[in-house]
Amino acid sequence: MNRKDYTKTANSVNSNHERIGGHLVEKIPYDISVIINKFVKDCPQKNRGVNIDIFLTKEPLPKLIETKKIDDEKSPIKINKIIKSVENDPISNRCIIYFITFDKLMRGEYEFKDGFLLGIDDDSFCLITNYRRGDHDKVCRWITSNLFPMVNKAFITSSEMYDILTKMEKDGKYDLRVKMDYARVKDLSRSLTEYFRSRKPDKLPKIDEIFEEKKLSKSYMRMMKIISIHDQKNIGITFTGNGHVGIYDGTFDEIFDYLITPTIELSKRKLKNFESRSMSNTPNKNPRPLEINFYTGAFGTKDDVIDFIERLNGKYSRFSYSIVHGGNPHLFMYIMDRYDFSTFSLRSVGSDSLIITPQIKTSPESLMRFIDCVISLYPDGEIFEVSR
Amino acid sequence: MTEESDLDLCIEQIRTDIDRYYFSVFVTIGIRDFVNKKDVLDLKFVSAERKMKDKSTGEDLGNPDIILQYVTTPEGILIEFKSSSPLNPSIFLRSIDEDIEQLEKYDKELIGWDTESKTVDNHSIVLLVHHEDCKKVRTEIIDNRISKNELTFNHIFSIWEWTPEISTKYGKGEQIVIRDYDNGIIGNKLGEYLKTNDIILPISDIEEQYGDKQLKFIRKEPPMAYLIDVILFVLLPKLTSEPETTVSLNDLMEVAGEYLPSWVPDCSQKSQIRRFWVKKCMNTLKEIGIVKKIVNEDYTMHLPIRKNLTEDIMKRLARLELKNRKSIFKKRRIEETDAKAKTLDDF
Repeated sequence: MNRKDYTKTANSVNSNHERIGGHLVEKIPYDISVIINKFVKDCPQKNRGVNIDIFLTKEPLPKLIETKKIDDEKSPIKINKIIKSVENDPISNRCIIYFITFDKLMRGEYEFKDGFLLGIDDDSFCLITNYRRGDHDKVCRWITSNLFPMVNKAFITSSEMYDILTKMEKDGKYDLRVKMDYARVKDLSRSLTEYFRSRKPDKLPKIDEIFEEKKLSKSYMRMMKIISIHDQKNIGITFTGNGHVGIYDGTFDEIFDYLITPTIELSKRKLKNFESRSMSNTPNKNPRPLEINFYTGAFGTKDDVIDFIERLNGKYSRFSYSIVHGGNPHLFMYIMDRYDFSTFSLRSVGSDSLIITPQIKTSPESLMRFIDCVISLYPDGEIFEVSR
Repeated sequence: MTEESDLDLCIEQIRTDIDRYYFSVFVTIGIRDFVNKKDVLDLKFVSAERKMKDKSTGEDLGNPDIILQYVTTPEGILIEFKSSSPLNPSIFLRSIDEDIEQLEKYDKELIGWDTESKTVDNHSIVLLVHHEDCKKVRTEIIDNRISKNELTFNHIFSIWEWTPEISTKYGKGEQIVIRDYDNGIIGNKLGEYLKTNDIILPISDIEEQYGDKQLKFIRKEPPMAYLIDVILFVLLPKLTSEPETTVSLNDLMEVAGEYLPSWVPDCSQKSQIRRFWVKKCMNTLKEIGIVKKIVNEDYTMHLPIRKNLTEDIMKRLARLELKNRKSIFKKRRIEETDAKAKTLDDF
């Protein structure tokens, strides 16, 4: 059993005996980010760094722990320690941190690993670990599949990624260079480009150049590995459209301010936009549909429609569908989210857009989960309100 | 023919029926918007749900699929969709007989029009057929029966064909084109219009009403699989969030009345979905094993965990259809053998 306890470095102050889900809450007299920064710094940066996944939640993390039993027998999450800061500065007010130990069965024995769930505000939290990506993703998948629709993964589109990164470069005065990117192109094949193999760091392409090039080749960004070549500001990150950030160089504070906070803000705005759209939630019982527009004409032929359904089958989980009219090339189908029995209909309009019409009962979370899936399959999609 | 290809054919038939019904709703919405927008035609869309009665006997003659009426003259047009189009030739002929039987009912003086006296001086009758079946239907009705004087209509009768086409004009998407090969024999302004024009219905406008305004049913009884789709994907989620659940017919009808209201608000029917359709549908769902128990009008059902839920349901429906066909065949054979035995006994 190999267990590191980062809290040992903190001189714990237990002023009162607050409990969350049966666990005693430990109070610390300084900012929580100190602990996370130390965690990030201690992680073997050259190898894999720290993985962070961002989630939106309907209930704050402490309540989730109490009501949803996120550390029950079947869960990979075992709560080891819960920590709150007693400091009154803005950051400690915003952040509540919970030390969590995950275990997983390996060759018949339990292996303990340390990770965090970090409550950011009432409607969002992060999962932070230093595991290999596969193990990290397993925990992530457990959270999304067991806590949905209470908890939802954050997601941003290719153009939003660009906005976040350029703002980071400008505000933080970084000189960001792209080491590697992973994009999807028109025929939906994936393309991984590694720039660092043939170039020195200062010759690596800039963010602007890369996005311009992707625009020209009609491909859309899903993941980027970025470094800063500024002497004073070491930074090494991976940034993806589905709410994942990897840090292998740099401090948590910087990444939190420039990447995590804007991702949360944009995702929250999206989720808010998905509210009050079902027929039972609108005053005149008319649903408020959403439209996804594709620049590359994803639904031109009947084969495209068949292809879309196949892709959806592979990526989207726990759903049922029914095709009323399947192509030629117009499509009309119903989709049922089996997590909460939300249903909506899909219809294609021409070759370049898909209209999602909520039915009688459709939760914003299920719309977000579906649209996230469609955007990750067709990254050139942009979401619009259907104009009347 | 092997059992497997029988099953495939049966599934194909179910799919075609769903598709035809789906487009029949589209055509109805399209025609409604078309006549209401085109003032020069002097036409109005009266109803897709109204009952017609025989003027002399008062006999109930059923509900034509679309009722149109001229605004300034007391004349009307009744449009009936060719119901299903069975791939099997003998069943196809039987379906034509059924259609003709219904059309002949409308070939009388009718009460139920949107005038003070509820009557019009004259009306024409139109049979609306999908272009794939149009040739077969025209041969059977016009060449084989009307031309040979086996069938006569007192009112003007015309067959129109509808076909979904990719549009070049509307750029974004498709359109439905309605053609009248008899060249406007139905008379009056629509007849004049049809001599030189086709009726063109842009699908993007119709889709919006089908999807968002929830116009999903016409008066004709929908294919079972189509109705099951709407019950499972539209109505049921309002009542439950569990795959295993018990719902009552009244609850289902209440949701249907609230969210799938009639086309015309003053209609005696609250919803586009009829109570007996749902009842029949639930009985079928019992036979295919999705409804587990029926007590009075409460249905205990268990939704199968399938991604392509309708595919699964269609397969079950097709198997049921084949089973029923077999039992009919068996029954007929027993009757024949009995009859034979009887003759032998007599002998």
